[in-house]
Amino acid sequence: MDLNLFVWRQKRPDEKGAMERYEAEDISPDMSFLEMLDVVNEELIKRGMEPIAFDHDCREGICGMCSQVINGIPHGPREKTTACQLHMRNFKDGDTIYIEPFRAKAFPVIKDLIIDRSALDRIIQAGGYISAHTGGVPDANTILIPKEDADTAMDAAECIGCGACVAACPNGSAMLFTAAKVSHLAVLPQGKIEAARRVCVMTEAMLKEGFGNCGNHYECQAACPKGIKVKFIAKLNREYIKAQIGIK
Amino acid sequence: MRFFQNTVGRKIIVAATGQIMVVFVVLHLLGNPLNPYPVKLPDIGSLKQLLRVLLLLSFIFHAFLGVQVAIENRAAKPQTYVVRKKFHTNFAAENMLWTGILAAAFIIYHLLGASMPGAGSGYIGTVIYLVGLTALFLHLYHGIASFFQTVGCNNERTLPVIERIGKGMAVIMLVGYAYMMLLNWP
Repeated sequence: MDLNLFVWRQKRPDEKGAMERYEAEDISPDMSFLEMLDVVNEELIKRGMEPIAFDHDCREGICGMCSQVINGIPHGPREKTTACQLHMRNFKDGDTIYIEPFRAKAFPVIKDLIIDRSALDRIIQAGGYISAHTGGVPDANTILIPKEDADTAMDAAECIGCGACVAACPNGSAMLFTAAKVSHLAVLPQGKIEAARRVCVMTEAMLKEGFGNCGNHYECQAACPKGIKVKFIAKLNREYIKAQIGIK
Repeated sequence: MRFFQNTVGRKIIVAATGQIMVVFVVLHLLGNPLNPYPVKLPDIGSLKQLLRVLLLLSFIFHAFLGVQVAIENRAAKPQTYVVRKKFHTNFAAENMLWTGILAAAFIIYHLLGASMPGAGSGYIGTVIYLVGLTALFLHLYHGIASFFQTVGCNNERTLPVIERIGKGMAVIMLVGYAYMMLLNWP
C-alpha cells in the first residue's frame, strides 16, 4: 500500500521544526510501523536526504523507547500497543498519517521524533527504589505476599516508562508514570518501609522536572500501551495523604 | 509548607475547598426563598458567621491555588500537536481555568447584587446570570467527581459511577437555578 506521511522534522533542539510531507510506497501490511519508517528512510538515504530520526530498541513492546504520536495518539490507533508493535494492517492504502514527537516541556526534542526522557529517570532516582542490603538471594516465600497484592503490584509494574501518559496529558503531567511506580512498591512489604518518603519525594521531583499537575483528564489511561489504570493515581493520592498524617 | 508546594498537596486543597463550596451551592438551592419547594434549613444562629468565613477562605484558597496549578500546567505543555485525538477529557475539563474565572466573577457580581438592587434583573442582568450559571455548571461538571479521585476515594469500579453522579449533580444545579430565575422573570 501507499501512504501519505506528514512527519515532524527538527534538526537540533534549539531549532524550530516543521511538518514535512513524504510518500511511503509499496508498504506491506505485515510491516510494523517502525519497519515502514525504515523503508522510508532507505529511500531518503538513496536520494541523499537526511533520514527521519526516531527512537527504537527492542521492537517487541517492552523497552519503552518508541516516542511517536501517530495521528494524534501516542503509539498510534491500536489500544495497548506500542508503536513498534503496531502493524501497517491497521492502516488503509492511501491513508494520510501524521507523525509527531511526544510533546511536553519536560521532554525536549533532540532531533525529529527523538526526545529526551531522562526526566522520568530522575523521578525514579528521587525515590523509586527500595533500600536493601545486598547479599545472597533470599529464600523463596520468606516474605509472604497475598496473591491480590502481588497482582496489583504487577499491574502497576507493567509500566515501561515510555512517557505516552505525559504525551497524552493536556497538562504534560507524569502522574500516571509516578503513580505506577509509587503503587507497585507501596503494595509490597519490601516497599512499604519507605512508602511515605517515596511518595513525597517522587511527586516533588515530578514538578521540579517541569511536568504539570494531574487534572483528572484520564487521557493517560487511554494512551498507555500497557493499560495502566488511573486507579493508581488515586492510590498515589491516598499514599500521599497517609504520608502526611503519619499512617504507616 | 511542603504540603502547599506539592503537586498532590495543592490539589487536595483545591479539591476540598471546591467541594465545601459545592455543598453551599446545593444548600443555597434547597433553602433559597425563590425556590417554589423550599427545604427548611436548620437555624444555626451565630454559626452562620463562622461558615461565611469558611466559605470565604475556601474561595480564596481554591482560586489562588487553582490558578497557580493551571499556569504551571500550561507551561508544562508549551507545544501542542498538529493532530490530536481526545479520549476521555471534555470541554469542561479542559477549560476549568476559564469557567472558574467566569464563575468567580459571577459570584462576586451576585454577592454585590444582594445589597445592590437592580443586579440580576433586566436583560443585561439576566444574560450575566445565565453566563455565570453556565460557567458554574461546566466547572462543577468536571469538578465534583474530580474531588474523589484527588483525595484518593476512587477505584476502577467507582470511577465511572462517581463521574456520572458528579455530572448529574451539575445538571441538577444548572436546571434548578435556571428554573428559579425563570420563575422570577420580571
